[in-house]
Amino acid sequence: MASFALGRNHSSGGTREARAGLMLRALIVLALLVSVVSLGTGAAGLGLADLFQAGLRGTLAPRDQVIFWNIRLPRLAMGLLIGAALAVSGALMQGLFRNPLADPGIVGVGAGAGLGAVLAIVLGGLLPAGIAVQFGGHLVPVAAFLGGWGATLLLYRLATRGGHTSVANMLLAGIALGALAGAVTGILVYLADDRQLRDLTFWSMGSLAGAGWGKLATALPLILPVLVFSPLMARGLNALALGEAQAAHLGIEVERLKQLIILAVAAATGASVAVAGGIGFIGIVVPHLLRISTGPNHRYLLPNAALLGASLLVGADMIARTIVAPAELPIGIVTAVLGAPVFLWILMRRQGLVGI
Amino acid sequence: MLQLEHVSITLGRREVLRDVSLSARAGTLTAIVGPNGSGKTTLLRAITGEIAYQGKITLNGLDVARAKAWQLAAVRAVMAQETQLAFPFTVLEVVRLGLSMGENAGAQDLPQRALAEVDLLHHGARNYQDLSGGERQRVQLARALVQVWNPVAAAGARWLFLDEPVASLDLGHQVQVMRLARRFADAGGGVVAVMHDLNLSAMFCDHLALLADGGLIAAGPPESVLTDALLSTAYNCTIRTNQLPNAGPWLLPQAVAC
Repeated sequence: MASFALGRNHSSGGTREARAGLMLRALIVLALLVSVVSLGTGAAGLGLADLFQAGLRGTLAPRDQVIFWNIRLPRLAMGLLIGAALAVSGALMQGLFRNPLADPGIVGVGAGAGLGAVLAIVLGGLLPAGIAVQFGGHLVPVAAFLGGWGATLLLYRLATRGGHTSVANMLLAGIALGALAGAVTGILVYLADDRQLRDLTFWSMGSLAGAGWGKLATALPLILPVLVFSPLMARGLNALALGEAQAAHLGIEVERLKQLIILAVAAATGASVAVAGGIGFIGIVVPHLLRISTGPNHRYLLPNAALLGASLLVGADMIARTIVAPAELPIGIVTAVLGAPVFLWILMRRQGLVGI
Repeated sequence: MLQLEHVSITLGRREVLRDVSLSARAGTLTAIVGPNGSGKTTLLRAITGEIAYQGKITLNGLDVARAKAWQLAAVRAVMAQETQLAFPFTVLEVVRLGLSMGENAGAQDLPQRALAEVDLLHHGARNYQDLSGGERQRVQLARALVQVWNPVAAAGARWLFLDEPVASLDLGHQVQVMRLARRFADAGGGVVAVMHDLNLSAMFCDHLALLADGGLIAAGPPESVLTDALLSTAYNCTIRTNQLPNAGPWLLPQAVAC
């Protein structure tokens, strides 16, 4: 069709991509900055200047070495990892549900993981001593991860008929499962003793306080592949915005894409909740802010969300551990205080929410 | 070549289409016409591989029910009746979705050229969600065009499947879009469109397939399908066909008898 050679105008539309590329670079710088500041911040009074000078002279006191290597560094790594995981999980879920307010918390991964953790805290003492010793301090994270995974699989079974996953059914089933998990959690909370209640409260609000290389080793193998490989799903996620049928017409294997997204979200969210408890709103706020500033193209949205989520969570963690120092605020409180107003703002701006 | 053999479709417990056999050659423009609820869109959704059916549908020899999504996507593009977007993509970003991984992937100027074809050249940076219904349809047509830009590829003819491509367009753009479809067919591609407007169908299409009540009651060139008897049966309304000089059949419903 030779006559189809009319306009050749490249000017429009390219600006957004340029902005997104610029944003990527800016976010890398931001993440580095936040990381450095975070390493120099803490209750121990070991500042950036001290670290720098002592590091140059090689005279870091043994106490400070422990603080740096065994407390601050793993905590920073954990914050970066969990923040990225939460933000990317949110972006993936929103792409799958074609709804900017979807979040792993909504589809039951969070509720399932929470139930697992509560079960471990309250009933963990009933386990035969041999098994309990095997798990050691990992019982709660492992139970949370299994709970999140189980909830996702159950949800997927409920929402899938004959190889077709209904997003509407999945959302509704997620709400029902969440309510059920909440009820069982309530019963367990009712049964719990005072010490267990303290654990529960702390865990349900989320915290990076227990961060160490061991926990990092638990979460890393599950989260890192999701962060690295999710950009490969960008084209499919973009096409999915047109609807499942039209994505398929464009050549996307839609059912396989959906399964991959669910698997990725279960892994990343389950692992995050398992090691850091319930940290809300990162998954909703980060992708939304990025969509406003640089557009919804998942090619940029996913890596940018990972970087911004990482920076935000490390920043929130700095607030959490300094604002009431030497005590610590659960980080979930910080993210909720910052994130809930943004969530409401999104809700107000979007009068006609996209139907499912 | 598009071939349908004894295609029946049941949605829920209702048989929407019964034993439809039909074929369309590349290089032609075929309209599926018929009253509301006669199964036009359902038939098109079967042809595009979107819903399950009994019987057999092949496109360029490819079994539609068994083909992989990417195999079909290389051969045909589909434009739905209405497309809502979940996120605020720009017009150009939407049209770019039509760029496949294959031969068109490097042709970065195709989206702009396709936008020019649908008269939206300078609207690439606009937010798709802010467009009117008719503009959205034209953007979706541009996206479909990008997907099958060359009407004849190395592997054979390409196809455009359009569900009511002109339903929400003004008169000028209706003619523009039909001309576009006509040119695609004249260049060797195949076009199958669900149409409401019988007059536009008669003006531009080589073949019409008339559906009524889930069955195919006539198929062939416009003169043989748009007859008073067939149309009056299909639409349950007395319809009189006229002949215009230098044009095909032209028809008006006889309001009194409806």
